[in-house]
Amino acid sequence: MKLRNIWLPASLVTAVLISIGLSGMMWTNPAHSNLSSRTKVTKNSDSSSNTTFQDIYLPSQLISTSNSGKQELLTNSRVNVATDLRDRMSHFTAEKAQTISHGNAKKYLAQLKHKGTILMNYNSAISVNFFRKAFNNQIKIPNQKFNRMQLMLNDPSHLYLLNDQGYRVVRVALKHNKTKLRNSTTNSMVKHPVTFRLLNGKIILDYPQSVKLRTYSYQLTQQTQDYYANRIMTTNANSNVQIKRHKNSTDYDDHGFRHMTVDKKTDTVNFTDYNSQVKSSSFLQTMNHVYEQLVMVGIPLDSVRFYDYDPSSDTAVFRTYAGGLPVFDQSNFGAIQMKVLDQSSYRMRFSLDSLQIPVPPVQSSATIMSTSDLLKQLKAAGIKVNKVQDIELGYEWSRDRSLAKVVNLSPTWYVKIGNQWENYRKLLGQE
Amino acid sequence: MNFKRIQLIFLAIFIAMDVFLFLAYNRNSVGDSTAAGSNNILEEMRKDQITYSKPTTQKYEGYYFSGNNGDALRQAAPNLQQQSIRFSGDELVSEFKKPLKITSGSAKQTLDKIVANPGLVAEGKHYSYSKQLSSSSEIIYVQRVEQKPVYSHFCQIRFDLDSQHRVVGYSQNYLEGVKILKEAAKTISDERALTWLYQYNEIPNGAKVTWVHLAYTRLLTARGQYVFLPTWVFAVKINNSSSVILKRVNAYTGEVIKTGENNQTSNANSEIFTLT
Repeated sequence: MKLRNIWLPASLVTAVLISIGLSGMMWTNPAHSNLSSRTKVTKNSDSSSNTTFQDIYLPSQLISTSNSGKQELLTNSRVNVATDLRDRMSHFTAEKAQTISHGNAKKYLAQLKHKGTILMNYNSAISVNFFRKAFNNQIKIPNQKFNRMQLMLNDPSHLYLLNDQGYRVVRVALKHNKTKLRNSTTNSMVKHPVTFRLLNGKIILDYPQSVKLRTYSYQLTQQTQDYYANRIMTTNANSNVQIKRHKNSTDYDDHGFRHMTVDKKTDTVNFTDYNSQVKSSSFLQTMNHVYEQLVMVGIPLDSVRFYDYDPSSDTAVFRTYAGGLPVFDQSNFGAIQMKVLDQSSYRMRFSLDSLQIPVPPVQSSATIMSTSDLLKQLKAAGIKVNKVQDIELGYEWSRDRSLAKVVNLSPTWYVKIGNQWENYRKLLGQE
Repeated sequence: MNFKRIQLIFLAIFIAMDVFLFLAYNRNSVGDSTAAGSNNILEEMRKDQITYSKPTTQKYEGYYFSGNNGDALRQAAPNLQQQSIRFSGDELVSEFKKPLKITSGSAKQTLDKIVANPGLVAEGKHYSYSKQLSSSSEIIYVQRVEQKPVYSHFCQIRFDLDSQHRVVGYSQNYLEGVKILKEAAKTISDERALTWLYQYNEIPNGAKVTWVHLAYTRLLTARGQYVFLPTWVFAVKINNSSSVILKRVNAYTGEVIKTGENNQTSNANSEIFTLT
């Protein structure tokens, strides 16, 4: 009797709830909003987005310290060592972290030289949340900044996070990590002896002996400016893109949110988007946003990797990498430079050139002098050592003289002076 | 009583509305997913009556490497027995003094032994039998680099069969001085490659994709060296025709590698096999 009385109101209520639920789903689902037509255009044809977030944000430098204390930079022409290590670290879980040293340069250097370890380095600090995403692991510790990760060969239950800024060392206790990293993983690699030292308060990698490095040659792949104009300037179907041609550059303007300038002299693009929301200003969110924009623009990312991020100017730099070392001189900013202007806009500068297809080099290798020799030469040329902000081994990008469309990458020293990376030969006045 | 009636009417209206909303929601979400999913492209291919075996989404690793046809074969030639040898360019052309009889079933076994014998075939250990490239008039062994076959004229042994199904001789190219130019990188899956190939209109309606292999293909020549890269090689059999055309897709980028004989002088690729 009761049931009969109740079924009508009950089913009516259910029907009302279902309709509310359905309409709610339709409203909240972004795919149904009118805005979707804009995002769809850009998503269709990412033909070259074989490079994932995890790939582009791989740590750029690997250093092993043997049980006897010998430190070596690891590179390998066959295997990408960093991806290998990343895959091993993907199951890491942790909840406890403890700061064991802070503000002490001596202790910090000692930690960097800790025996039986593998160090993975970034050029600038990353956050724990970022680390979790880039390495796909489950490390849940209070969010903090660090730029080096140290794996213990003999102690699989601990991981050290190091930050050059403030010389902070944090020990993370890993849960259920039993598998030891074996030295065999590093046996087949090309190794160059290195050591850490302080230069003007900055930790630098010191090469005590001259090093023999591989040279590379690549076929130059050059995207046309039309490709980018089509991809990023024609997304708003209602507006007309105004094109202004100048002697050395071309301007594209959509009378709305996007502006693009192609510099024909340097083959670089300067792209500004005033309508691009960043959800929050956390490091991970920013980097995620940057990656999404790189994919949206459609820049070939084959050998491009994250180089550094400057929080004071909100600028991320990506460089082409060869054999584990960054390439300089591609343009005056690297391969891609992305500057977040505010919550809703950014400016991206990138090179039309990219390196995708390697070709046999003329010489297979070149020898580079040691760090101390470099400092001596700089000193002899009248450059004050205390003005040197950083030094790094890198590849010099130069066009081949006899073969058109071929770029040679030869290893050389780069010195950072006045916030600008310069080839040491230029500083010595040899160029 | 009156209230009950109102309730009934409302119920009917709301049920109708639910059905409508549900249909609208469903249609929208289906229409939306076409942009991304490759499954829809595979379905489209089925509608175009293209037959293929189920592709996988597995990714592999491959290298860029270089090498050339140097003089390793010339150096080894004096040691080869029971055959007369001449060279045409870098290619070794051999004629057996006594033609070798093979039955169609045992062709691989017999020739495997010959290829493995350094007194008969130079550098034979680098080659392996390729069933797919071989035909009734020719049996092909392909050179393997980094555990993967190289589908190129520059890396093959071709055994010629005469009308009585006897092996009369062979011609051989050997790639030497193999140098890896770049560390290993992940390839795309064959499913992805197949959908690209279809989207570039390289598979005509009614065609049959008979097999797909991950193999190296010559991309260009630079500084006297051939440069190879991993490719997905698809054998496409066109409707009403007995010939099979090999289509190659760059296994890194998904680009279709155009093959053709008309521009051999440039860096363009001239690899093309037509099997009958």
